[in-house]
Amino acid sequence: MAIIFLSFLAIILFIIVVKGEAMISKDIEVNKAKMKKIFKGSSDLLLYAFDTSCNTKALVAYIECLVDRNGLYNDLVKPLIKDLKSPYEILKTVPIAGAREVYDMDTITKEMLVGSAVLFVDTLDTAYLFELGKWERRSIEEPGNERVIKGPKEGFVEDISVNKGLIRRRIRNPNLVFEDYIVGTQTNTNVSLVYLADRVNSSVLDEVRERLNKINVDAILDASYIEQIIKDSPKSLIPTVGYTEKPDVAAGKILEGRIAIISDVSPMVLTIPKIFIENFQTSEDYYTIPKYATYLRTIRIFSLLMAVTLPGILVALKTYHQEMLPTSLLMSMASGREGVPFTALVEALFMLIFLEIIKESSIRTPSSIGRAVTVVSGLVLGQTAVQAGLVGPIMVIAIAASGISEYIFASLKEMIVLYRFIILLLGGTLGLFGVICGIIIIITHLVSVRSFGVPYMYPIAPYDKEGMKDFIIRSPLDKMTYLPRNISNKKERMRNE
Amino acid sequence: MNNRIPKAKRNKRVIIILYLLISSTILSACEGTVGRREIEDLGIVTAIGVDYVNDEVIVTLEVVNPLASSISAQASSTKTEGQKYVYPQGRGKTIKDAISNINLYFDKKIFLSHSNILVLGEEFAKRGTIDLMDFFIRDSQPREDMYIVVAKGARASDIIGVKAGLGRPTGTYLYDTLNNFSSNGKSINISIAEKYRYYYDVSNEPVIGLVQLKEVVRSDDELKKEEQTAKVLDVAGGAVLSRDRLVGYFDGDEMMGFNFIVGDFKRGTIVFRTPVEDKDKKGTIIGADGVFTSLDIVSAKTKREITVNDGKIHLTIDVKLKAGLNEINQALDVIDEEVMTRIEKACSDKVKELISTTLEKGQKEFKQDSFSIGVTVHQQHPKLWKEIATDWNNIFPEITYDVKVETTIVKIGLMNLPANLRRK
Repeated sequence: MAIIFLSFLAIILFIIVVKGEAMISKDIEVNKAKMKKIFKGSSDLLLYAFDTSCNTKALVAYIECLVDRNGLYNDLVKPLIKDLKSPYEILKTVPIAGAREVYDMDTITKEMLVGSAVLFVDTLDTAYLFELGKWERRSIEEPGNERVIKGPKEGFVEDISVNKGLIRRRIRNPNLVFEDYIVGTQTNTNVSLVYLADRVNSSVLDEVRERLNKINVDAILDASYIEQIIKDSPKSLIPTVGYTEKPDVAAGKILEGRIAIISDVSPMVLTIPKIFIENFQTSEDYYTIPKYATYLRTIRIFSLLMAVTLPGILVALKTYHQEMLPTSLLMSMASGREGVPFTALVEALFMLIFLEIIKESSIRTPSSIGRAVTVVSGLVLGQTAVQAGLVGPIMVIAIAASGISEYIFASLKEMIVLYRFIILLLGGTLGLFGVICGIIIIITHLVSVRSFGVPYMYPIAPYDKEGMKDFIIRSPLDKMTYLPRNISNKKERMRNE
Repeated sequence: MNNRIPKAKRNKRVIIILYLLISSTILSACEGTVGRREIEDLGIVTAIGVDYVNDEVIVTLEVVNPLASSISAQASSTKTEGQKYVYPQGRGKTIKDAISNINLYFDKKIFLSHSNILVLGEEFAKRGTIDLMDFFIRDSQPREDMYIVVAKGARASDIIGVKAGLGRPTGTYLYDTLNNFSSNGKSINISIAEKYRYYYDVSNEPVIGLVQLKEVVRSDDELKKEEQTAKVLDVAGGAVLSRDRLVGYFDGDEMMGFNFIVGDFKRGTIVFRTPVEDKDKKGTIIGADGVFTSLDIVSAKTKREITVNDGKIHLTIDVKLKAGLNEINQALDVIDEEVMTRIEKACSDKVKELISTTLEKGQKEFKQDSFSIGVTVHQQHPKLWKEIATDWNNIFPEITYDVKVETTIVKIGLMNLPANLRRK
């Protein structure tokens, strides 16, 4: 009984103490101690005490590197030292927009962490917050992943406010809405939904909001964390959330009624929902002549087929269907295979794994050693493997062609690499029958996947005549009068309501 | 959906599926699985020859050695010198038996799918082929579009192995030569599938391609005197079969007539005597006896019409030719309309002659319908055909015919006036 009573008392005491902790004291020495306690004596917490012109002591607390030091001195400290007449006229004296009074330590802590300076004044039990945030950030550059020859070259940076500005500059429209969230229990990352209020599909928007609110992770270090958590069918290899590093691409998607998700500290902007054909569209398609863009898209679709199926088909032909090869090709294959100790399937697996290793090492090699080293080693190894009789030359060509085709689709990389293995195994064990089975299974999967309620294979399944205008054939811009039906709620593109 | 199945059961299912997948992968990657064969184990056959000697089938194959063949000389890293082609031979009671027997002493698995040529020895063709040919349409390996030819006056084993042309295997060489059919009209290329189509056709006796060994003079300074002739394969002509039995041959010119009759003439050259000068009209045509003109046939259309008079069947063959003037050995003024008309007429007469010779040979010598005229009767007089179908081979030699040929010269070549026009 006594123990219960004592613990109850302890809790009450604890609450009082904690409550006291959250209050701002009139004594700045106490406040100083509190700040140090909150930040656990971290060395980047800077505390700067000085005397104001009305002979009261003041204390500025801020976090190094998050605050503009020049602005702090010129706009905050200098006026206080020179012009302050009374401690109650601080907000009038200091020429900083967004300054406000706060009453508890929690708010102060939060604001300091996103780049505010806080001012404690002796004899006052309130504090003042000044938004002076400024930190080192990368300048706007052309993103390395999405280079274009024609069209804007700006790319997103690792700063959410800059990214917001980049989008706003492209869509000068009051309907463009940024909706802010804070995600990550430890990192407290700013995340923002961007959409056009009159074009967005409200059911998709509700779905995204719900999924964002459900996120329960400690950290968001990149937008791809969000992508993995909110994406449909998380076990599937198919990307149902798009991403881009280019503001013009993001703006284009938003204008079609999609929702973009910007995350602080990430240059990747997610776009939702994503359909299959977006993997084949590039921003440059819309900047060049429609016929040329159509031609390029055909090539891309062909190369996707090649990237996924070529090794499998080759192995199937080599081991089961020699009668389907042209005679002269069969002979050169046979002579190339002469002396190769493995079956065609093992040969292909060997080359494919080898290709993955070369790819991986060429990405990870420090640039000082040079890409040339890996390329040369790859070439030399490839050629000597043929000369040593480990693999046949035709197989090297097929694997290389398949590997090159894969690079066209940065977004489909995971799917291509893994499906290629599956198709290869099926082709090596069941022949073309297996390859066809594999393709049918993949297509069935593609058709059944949805991205935030939008069928992935739209506009083929379900068929939509208007959507087909921006499918394989890229129609002229003035002919694309309607927005994609499932993605946006508003049908006509030109009318403004 | 997944929730309906208990988790333990689901896991079990996944394990079973994985087990099946993995074991099927491993098992089917093993040697000796049905349908699986590695490329390097195959003996790629490019030509098949079949003979029938002393109640035994002899199959001669042409197998390519990929390592020595020129196509892949660069591709292969280890350049082994050796014979480019080998010619294994097998004996047996049936064709399959003979081919299997080859593998008793030949190391690579015989692979027939890349053979384009099937050569039948003359004796074999005379004996009748159909009972032994079943293999080529029943087995999955041999192609249906493989050309089938009869070796005239020779055994198939003599033909297989002759490498003329540019020294490629007999199969490829013979195949490409037979494909020249469309540019000369003197031969015919019939595939196995087509032969069987004819076989079931009551009103039609097949004519298939033939191949003949010939010796030609080689004009090569580097050769010794005794080597100055070379063996080549000549495909001019056609082998006339009665159902599946060889009964005779058409020669090259007769095949031209044959191709005109059946409407299969695509391109070719017609050579005829240049028309000579009329006695009363001087100065127009100055062709002398023994001088020839050649016309290139650009297109030929044949129409066959059957008319019945008092139960007698009469055949009208109507050929319309478009031709280009190719060669005149005498100075003719080709701009003159009169001259052109005469040349056209002379050409028509020549074609008429070709057609009549062939038809006559078919009626008198072979006494059977090799021209699918019965089919025409069937199409145009179906009621009559029902009555005479069974007796058609007796009726066919009796039918009368006339031939109409109309030639139009559409091109006169690059010259208007020949260089030797002034000689007159």
